[in-house]
Amino acid sequence: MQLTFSSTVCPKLPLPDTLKMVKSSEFSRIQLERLNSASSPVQNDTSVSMVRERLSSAGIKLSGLTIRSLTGRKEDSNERNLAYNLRQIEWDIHLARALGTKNIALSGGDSGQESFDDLVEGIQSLIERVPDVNIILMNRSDSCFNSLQDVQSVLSKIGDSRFQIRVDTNELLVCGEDVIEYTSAIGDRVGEVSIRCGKEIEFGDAGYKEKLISDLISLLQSLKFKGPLIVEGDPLPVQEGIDLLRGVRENIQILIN
Amino acid sequence: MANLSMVDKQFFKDNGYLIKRNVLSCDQVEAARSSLWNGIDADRSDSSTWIGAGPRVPCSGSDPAINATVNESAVFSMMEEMVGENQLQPGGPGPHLVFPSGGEQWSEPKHGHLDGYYTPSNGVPEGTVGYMTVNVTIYVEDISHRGGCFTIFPGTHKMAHEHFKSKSLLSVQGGASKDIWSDNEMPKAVEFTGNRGDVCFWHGQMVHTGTKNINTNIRMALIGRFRRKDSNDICFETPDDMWKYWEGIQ
Repeated sequence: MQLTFSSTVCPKLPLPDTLKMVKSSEFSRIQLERLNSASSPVQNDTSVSMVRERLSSAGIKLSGLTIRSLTGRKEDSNERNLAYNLRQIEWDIHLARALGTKNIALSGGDSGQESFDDLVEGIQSLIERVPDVNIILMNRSDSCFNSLQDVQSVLSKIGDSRFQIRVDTNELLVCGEDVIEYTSAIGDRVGEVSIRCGKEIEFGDAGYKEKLISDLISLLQSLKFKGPLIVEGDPLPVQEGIDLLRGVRENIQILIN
Repeated sequence: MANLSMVDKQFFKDNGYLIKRNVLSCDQVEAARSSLWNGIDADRSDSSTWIGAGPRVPCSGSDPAINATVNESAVFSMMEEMVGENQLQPGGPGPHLVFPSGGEQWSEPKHGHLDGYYTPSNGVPEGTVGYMTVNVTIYVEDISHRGGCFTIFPGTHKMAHEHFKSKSLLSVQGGASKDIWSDNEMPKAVEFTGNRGDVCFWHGQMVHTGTKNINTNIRMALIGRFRRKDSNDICFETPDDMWKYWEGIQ
């Protein structure tokens, strides 16, 4: 498993400062966010080559890029238009490729069958059109993809191994889903796992218990999961965030070992 | 046989555009004009009906006569001579007409735009930038000064390249040059004036604009935008050598 720092921990920090935080927290990998992040590779004052150089200089590997959601809709009018949305998604995918990662994480649109159908059709199209990337679908409580039933359905429809699932444990707990059962159902199609750390609780803020994390890591090891284990978090002052993340990283590393 | 000389290529390199005269045959021009006129809501024999007429796009780019102006002339091979043989995606031009305004006021533009940028009405998806390597404007009518000329800002291809070395492609709202450079920084605009059959090649990151037509002719232009076949792999790159992906004029 590759312990990975998520820039969601510090959404207001520009990339150079984020990378300092990654190093201070003793991570060697980062997941960048396309949206709502000052370290986004589309920040006005940053070119793609500058992002690559900064990562390289810091000795931090880019684990993946979380891109815009596959909503099947136009952002400006909310009109249903899958082709338009896919052009946006494809642009983001090529951005990720240019940054040097093939791991593309995205979520679906609002809950509802129409959004789910567009999500499946869209992913099938992307898998066909872009041959050298992994499309990693994230479960989100406020989206059309958030339950065990959803994951079983989508995996039965898209068989390509380049289509994978991110197990977002926090979002599963919000939905009342069983993290272990969900992860087991995905099996070797788990592409990424994320946990959210918080100030109050050692591993998370949505009902995590150490036993859950321990069971999850055991399950991932039995699945021979070698992908990113992404540590997300609510924004904190820099030093507090570093202290928290370092502690979380150490604890998870002990469990992994 | 080469269509472009070393002098042509050097001019393009320095200025970001290149005008070649009489590239199309009379038959090709006439066929394209006929296709355009079939869709124009005006009397071809009565120029008084051309004022404020339309539509700006009177026929499809897939019309055989329109497509032939690029693909059955020397136009495509000229672009390949600059970009590299078999390096460009196939494509064709589309009509972009500017009808006489009927007015007399005209002013020289100080600014223009880069193509490929989102506006609410142009079909480019928000948060993306369309990548183009080389573009072409083909006249199928005689167009003189103040006749709605396609207008370029020489040297802005180099300015844009410098800009994007340290800025996101998305840093330019709507592709507007005034978002990046002041009036004083902008070079003087050059109108592409010429006769039917003349062609202007222009760099994909060249600032350009249209102008008002206060003459009597309809500005009948066909515009094609072309990108390298590997554009998905290079569209975010701004290499130190801006001609790295132009095998013909490195």
